[in-house]
Amino acid sequence: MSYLYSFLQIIVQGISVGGVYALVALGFVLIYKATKVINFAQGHLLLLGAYLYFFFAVELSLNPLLAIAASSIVAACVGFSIERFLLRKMLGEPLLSVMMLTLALTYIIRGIVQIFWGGQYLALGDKSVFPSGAITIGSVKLGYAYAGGLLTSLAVVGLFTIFFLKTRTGVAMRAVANDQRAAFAVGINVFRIFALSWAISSVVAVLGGVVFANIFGGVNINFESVGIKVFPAVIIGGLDSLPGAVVGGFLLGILESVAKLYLNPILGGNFHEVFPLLVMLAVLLVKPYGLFGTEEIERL
Amino acid sequence: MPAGVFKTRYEDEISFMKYPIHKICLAILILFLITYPLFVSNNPYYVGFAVKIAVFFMAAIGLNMLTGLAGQISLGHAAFLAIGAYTVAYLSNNIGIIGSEMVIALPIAGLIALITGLIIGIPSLRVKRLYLALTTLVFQCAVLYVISNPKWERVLGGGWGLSVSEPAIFGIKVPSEFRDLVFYYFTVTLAFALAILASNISRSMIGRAWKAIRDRDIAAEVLGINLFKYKLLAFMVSAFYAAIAGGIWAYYQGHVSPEDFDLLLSIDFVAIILIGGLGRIVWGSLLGTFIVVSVPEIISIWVLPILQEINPVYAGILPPVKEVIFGILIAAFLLYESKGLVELLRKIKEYFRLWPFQY
Repeated sequence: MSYLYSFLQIIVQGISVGGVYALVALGFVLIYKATKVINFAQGHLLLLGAYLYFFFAVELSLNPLLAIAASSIVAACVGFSIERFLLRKMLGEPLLSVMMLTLALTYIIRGIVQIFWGGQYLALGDKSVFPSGAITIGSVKLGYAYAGGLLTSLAVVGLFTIFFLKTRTGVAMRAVANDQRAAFAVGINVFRIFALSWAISSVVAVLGGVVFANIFGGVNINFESVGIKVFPAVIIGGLDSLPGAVVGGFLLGILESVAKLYLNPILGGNFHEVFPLLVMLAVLLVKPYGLFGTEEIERL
Repeated sequence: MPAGVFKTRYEDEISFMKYPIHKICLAILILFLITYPLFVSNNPYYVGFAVKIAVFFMAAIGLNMLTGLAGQISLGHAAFLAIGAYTVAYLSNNIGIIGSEMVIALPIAGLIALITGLIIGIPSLRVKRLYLALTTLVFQCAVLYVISNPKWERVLGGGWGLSVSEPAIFGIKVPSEFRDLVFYYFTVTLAFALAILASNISRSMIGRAWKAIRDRDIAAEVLGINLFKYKLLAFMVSAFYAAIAGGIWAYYQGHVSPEDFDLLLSIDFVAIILIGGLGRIVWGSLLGTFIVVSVPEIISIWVLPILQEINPVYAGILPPVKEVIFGILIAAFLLYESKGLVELLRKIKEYFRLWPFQY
């Protein structure tokens, strides 16, 4: 890495990676809001998305944009089927069972990915969406992949805002998230919304996967670790808040890269992987509903 | 002759084993456990397999008490195993003869786990359900970070882990030719004792308090159950069981390393208790352990030759195939028999109770 490791540089880089985390967190929160399912497989949807992109772009040598579209369609179908055939049957089951089902999904997705593509690093080659090279602003140097990833994330977040504020389906989704029974009563097809949230969330995960693949120049089975990393983001932001997920994702990226630079040499090992979790623990103990989450009030 | 077992005294009603058939089955079970090495003609693979089941069984009981009885979700159970295993490894390498004495080192490992469990249980007083699961997840990742940290390589071995010297029981070194056999009897005896202890805890005041907390903690508190005490107790007991299991596992393997205790192991334990039966302390844990431990082995024994016959290259995809099958198995249990294997067996028993005259 020939980057100049100034503080500003680290922050900017953290923000760019944070964009991906924000996307994954967005997908997670979307599912949680609509269906109250804790999706431990969100990172694996990203993994699947990245490998699908690799399949379409490199193995079938499609145009990158076409490959993104194709993998989005496939992932949307996957997300839809997961909701329709697995999680819909778990309605009303205890939290632990639903959690475990998504954990079982992580095994299945990781296994399938490894069966088809193996576990090793696969390079994207010339099939990356963004050109190589970097832009320099002052003392900060930012690779095009990072910059493009950041722009993609911001664009997706913007699209989401418009979708939720302006479109009919978006409003219906917000209604379901707010009060399922009331939404049912006013004639919203709640099951359609459930399926739709899973499909959209899978597509968002694909976009995250594509950005990740471009940043690292290839796909790797370790992308799954995002599934754990997303928890600090959603907890810091608040479990049921979409803006919170975005803020949390960017914060997570910054925390991670700052810890990598300043705390890893002092404490040794991969402290940057634990640091966001410790921050999450502190947030959990002080303010369990995060920055923007709604507080649950428990009654007997 | 009475047409069933009818109890006439209160002592019968509260006795540990209520039916004569249970005593007979228990006797057969004990006989089987004693003669098991003869059945498999001392094959180290099968004896080792039984040791593994006994070890996982002990740890699973711990998690089943915490999650099944007290209702506190934990994704950090493997970390407690790691604490037990690393304590044992450290003692055996640094304290000499006392450290390699199983009867002393295992209780020390258990004690350290008790204290850790006490600390890890504290967040459970403030956060619940998912949030609690996440705090235990943090604990799991933190322990894994600490034991794999290169800065403390001299004490904890870093990524390579530590070797564990050959243990002794009551001052007698385990002879190498009977190693598997000694471990088998030691582990099974211990697992048996711990299972009986757990079963008795679950039907005592403590167990009933845990069940009340699981069903509705606020209501339990209103009834006068000290949440602070019983939640922490649940974490401590669960940690103790896990640490004992981890300690024995470390001795048996002769080596501990961070990747033995990763998050996947924690998830395995949750899978064990869900497949076996949540809150079914002894049988649920045992059957779940049996499934989760033996399914990967069975796949390696049966599926691998078929794969190799088709094309030798396919042998490489065995680990992912295992993962997929394991995932499908968990999902199938959750979807079709969410109360676990114990409930499934009960249903079968009920079906055959009056068979073939259903009405």
